[in-house]
Amino acid sequence: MENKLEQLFQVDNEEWLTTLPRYQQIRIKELVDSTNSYEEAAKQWLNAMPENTFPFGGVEQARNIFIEKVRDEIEKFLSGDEKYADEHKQLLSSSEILQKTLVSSVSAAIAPVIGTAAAYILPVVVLVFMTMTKIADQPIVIAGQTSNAVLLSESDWASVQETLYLLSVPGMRESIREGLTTPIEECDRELQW
Amino acid sequence: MSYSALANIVFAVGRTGSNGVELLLGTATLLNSPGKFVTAAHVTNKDDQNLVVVLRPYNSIDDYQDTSDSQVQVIPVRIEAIDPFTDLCILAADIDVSSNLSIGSTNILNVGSVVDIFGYPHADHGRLVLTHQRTEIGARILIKNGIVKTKHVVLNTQARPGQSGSPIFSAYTTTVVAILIGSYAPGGGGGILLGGVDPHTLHQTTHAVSVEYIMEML
Repeated sequence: MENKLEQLFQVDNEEWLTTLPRYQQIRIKELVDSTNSYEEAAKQWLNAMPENTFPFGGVEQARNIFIEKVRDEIEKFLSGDEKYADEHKQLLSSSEILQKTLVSSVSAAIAPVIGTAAAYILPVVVLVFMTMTKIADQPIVIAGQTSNAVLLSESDWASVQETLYLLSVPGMRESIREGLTTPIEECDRELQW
Repeated sequence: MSYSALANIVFAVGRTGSNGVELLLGTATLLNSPGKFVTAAHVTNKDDQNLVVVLRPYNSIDDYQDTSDSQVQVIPVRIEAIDPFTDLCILAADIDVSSNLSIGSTNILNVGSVVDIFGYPHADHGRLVLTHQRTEIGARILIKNGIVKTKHVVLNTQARPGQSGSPIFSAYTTTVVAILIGSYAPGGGGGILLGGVDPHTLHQTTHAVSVEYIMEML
């Protein structure tokens, strides 16, 4: 994902919700609060149907939209897949990209591919982005039968690598600690290289 | 109040193909907001590609509607707002026309209240006749949809495919109180079809959702 887009995920999850129209914000918040899962909330949105009611619409077979398909298309869009090359390029050419711009651009681009309307898929895109932000926020423990694994964001991984490198330099740890305890007035005003 | 003007307010919803309107999906109503229509969300199948409202050449609902005349005009529409939990949907067209209807709620109805229904029954067979039914409210009910419960009324009349999205008026007024969405069917029906008809739906227990929910969608 481009840096310009990556930065959009350095936000509080609640910010994604504000990109939705008010009526969808309320509905999605209710779903997230009750399911405690962004993915489950997205599934409930996609499968919603009044109980015990036979719809009297026309002859079209009701279409099922799966969260996995939505997620796949979002990933293709974000990675600049050629299917979405034009929309991706257009988005990146904007001087400022806001969360709302990203949500609308992705929804409008993937809706016809999935066979649905942008207004309908909008909350699902937001919930997928909230999942991605959550992953970026904190490591996820993947439980195995004999041992566990940890999934963490690329930026966190880079940060860990940087720390390990600095600590591998002899005397670096002590130098940093000494620096942290040195009063500001004792610091040199001019660097002596 | 005369309902004659509804011929220019209540329309069929369809989907076009290479041969013009290929599918008739339900009913939509022009709102008191330029270019905005309300319908049931499931009517659109949540997809607005090639979605249109269908216009017939009548100025009054009292005109003789020629059932052999298949000439129609269409207005392309897009889904502007949709809520699968209330099954309501706002369609938008690039036209500067609105109606004089007001939006009410099922809260103003009691059991026994008389209501008027306008829609396109049998649209699934290609029949395009704007039809009026008058009935009474059988019950006020809450219908569950996932974690959400919404207000509905039971209409004591039989409905058919094509009537989803039909406006329900408090009788003799221009106030829309509900939108027809379907009929009671245990488990949602769809198990057996006889001649294209689900026998579970052959009864007079028809469901309509309170239209108040569209206020937050406009």
